[in-house]
Amino acid sequence: MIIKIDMNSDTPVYRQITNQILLGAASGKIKPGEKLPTVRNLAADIGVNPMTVSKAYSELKSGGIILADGRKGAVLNPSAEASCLLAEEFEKQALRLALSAKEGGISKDAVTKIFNDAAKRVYEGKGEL
Amino acid sequence: MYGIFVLLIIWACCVIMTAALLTASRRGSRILGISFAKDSGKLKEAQALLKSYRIKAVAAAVIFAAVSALALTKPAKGFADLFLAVLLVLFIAAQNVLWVSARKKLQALGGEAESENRVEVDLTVSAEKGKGSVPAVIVWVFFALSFAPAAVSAAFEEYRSALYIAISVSAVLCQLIFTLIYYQMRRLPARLVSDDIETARIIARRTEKIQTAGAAVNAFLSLVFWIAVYIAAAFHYSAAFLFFPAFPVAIAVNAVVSSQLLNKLETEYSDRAKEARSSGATVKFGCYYNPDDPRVFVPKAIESMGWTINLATKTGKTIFATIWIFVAAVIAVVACLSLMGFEVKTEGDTLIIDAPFYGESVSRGDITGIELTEDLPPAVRTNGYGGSEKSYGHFSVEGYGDCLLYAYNDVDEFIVISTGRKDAPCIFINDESADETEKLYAELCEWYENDKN
Repeated sequence: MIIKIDMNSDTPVYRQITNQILLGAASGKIKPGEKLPTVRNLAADIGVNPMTVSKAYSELKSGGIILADGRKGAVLNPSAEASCLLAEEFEKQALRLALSAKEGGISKDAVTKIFNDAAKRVYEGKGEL
Repeated sequence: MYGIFVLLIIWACCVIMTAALLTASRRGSRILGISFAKDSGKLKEAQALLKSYRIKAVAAAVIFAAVSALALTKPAKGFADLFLAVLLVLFIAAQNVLWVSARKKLQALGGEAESENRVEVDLTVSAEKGKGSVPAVIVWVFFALSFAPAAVSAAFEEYRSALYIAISVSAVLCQLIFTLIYYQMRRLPARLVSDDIETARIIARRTEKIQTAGAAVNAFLSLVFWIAVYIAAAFHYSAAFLFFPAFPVAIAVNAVVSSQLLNKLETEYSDRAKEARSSGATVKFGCYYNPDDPRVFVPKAIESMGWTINLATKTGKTIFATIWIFVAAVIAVVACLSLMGFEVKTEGDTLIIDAPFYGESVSRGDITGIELTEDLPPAVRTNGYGGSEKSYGHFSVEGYGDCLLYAYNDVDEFIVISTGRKDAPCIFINDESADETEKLYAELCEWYENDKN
């Protein structure tokens, strides 16, 4: 799976890494049990401090999304429990997004359409993020 | 001999740097880190610009080599070290200007600068990083072998007189640098040149193998070089010096071979269409500048060329300023040491040797004898300055131990002042010519005899 990091974005780099691995797991682009790069390797490839990647991995590990094993790297948590945690995390994020859309004056139909389009793009491969 | 040796080292730096720039200047359809579509008509114009850049880069190297040879001439001898230091800084600056201006022309031609602030990473490829490398144990064996000169000198007394501490330490430090370069090659960011995972994986592994093999070969060449230096110095085998120019040539050939292999790999496998990207990044003083990018260290567009500093950050500015203050300080110290000489004078009961950083004064009572000699035993610098015209500071002199030496290199006559001091049992001094040295000797003898009377 290819992750894209925008250094000019207002979203911190560690958050971009977390979000994209979460999306990759949700869309099936990263399979349960699949090996992820070590913190040092991913940091070298992105060109950031290893602490940044470590922060992203810590967040994913505390959410039960990945299983990290020191220098050996990390794998996507293959257990069913992890899928539940992933779904929980997704639900929380979706609620936050819907709430901010409502506060921003976006209608319910528009929000539904945006979510549907996003799901279509990710699950049916009709475009990238 | 010293001047030629320094010049050879400077030329070696020049050859290696020029070879690195020339070989890194093209990777497939990327020219100086600027991408052109393979089927684009502009690629041919870009190739012409690349050719022009390469000619200018080689011309700059040839001019530098020719001008630096002036350091061996008589008028330049007094300030040869300063001259070479300034010339080297100017050469690096000139190569940087040529590189940046060629990149600007390529961008004006319509090429896309590989944006350093939008990064794409294939997690599968990144997870396999290190698997295609040449085993690290090889470079560590070379590193262990670099201790050989020091070990031989320490173990066998007959070679201890030729214990060149500077050579032994330099060999180890140099080998350590090549070991670190090997790891740097292993950790280079893997570029995405194919959307197909299997192809991307193959390219990443092969790239890693070529880069780490190149680094291992360089480490081996460095080991051979330092062992040759040690043999030449310890056994006074001057013919070994003829081998030295082969070292930069071999490093340059290795760089060219590695580059050709990488180029071939990318040309054969790359199938990824380049995306047009907008980048807020610019170049200032030869460094990356992007106020929107929070990173301090940013990988260069051409991975094998290492990292650059983001000058838009406070830390980046501080690092940049520190590096240039350090360079300026080195040049100032070299200027001070090479332009200022040493002066020997007497004031009352004290003999004063006035020299930058290594001045010394000896009271008449401490002196046990003064004599003139034309036979200075082999001396090795332990803490001092060794220039093309003069040398001074602390030297280990065979048969005398740790001594102070203030010498004009071309003058064979020396005044030997014996003292009762443990830190400097002998002081060796001469003047700009044999006649001046004899005159100084007469003055010192008269001053010393006055005490006895």
